[in-house]
Amino acid sequence: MTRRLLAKTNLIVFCLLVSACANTVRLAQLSKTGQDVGRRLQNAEISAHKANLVTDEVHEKAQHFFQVFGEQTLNINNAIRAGSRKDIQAAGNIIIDAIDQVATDLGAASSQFAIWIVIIRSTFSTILALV
Amino acid sequence: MTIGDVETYVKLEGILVPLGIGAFQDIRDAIHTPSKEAEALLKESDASALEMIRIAQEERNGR
Repeated sequence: MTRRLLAKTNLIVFCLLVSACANTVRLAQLSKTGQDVGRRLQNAEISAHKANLVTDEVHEKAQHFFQVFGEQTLNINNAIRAGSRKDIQAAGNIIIDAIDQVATDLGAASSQFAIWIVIIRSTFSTILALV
Repeated sequence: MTIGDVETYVKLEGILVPLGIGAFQDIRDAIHTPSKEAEALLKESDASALEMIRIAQEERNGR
């Protein structure tokens, strides 16, 4: 009886372990994807500002967003490492709020920016949905 | 299966370890240690985030 119970427990533990590892990789992939798109957006925004296609005011708001985005991405990565659902959610919500604040200004400046913003937002929404 | 399920398991482990089922400790450590693949992705993302913060700070300082 005890052996059967232990065998069953081991199977459950194995399944949990496999799914936990798979979930960590998935979360890490999503975080990196969001980060990659964020960097493209940042580089494009800086180039657009240098070409006077983006106003100083929008550029200032954008750089504030990128700083918040970078900091919170680090927090999300650390939370993924620690397996902390609460911390992933907290950092993810800050990123979503920051995106929503800057989306109108950057979206108005370029339709390409608007598409990238949608990709970044949906990437982090998926992370939140997964945890 | 979500991280919530893993957290439930870890709570269970907190009860079972004192009862002498030590293997749960090793398994919990394994759950909280990202795989090599995940760690590599997170490292790249970390480096990118730090660079992004540096660029944003330089831009905001008007360099």
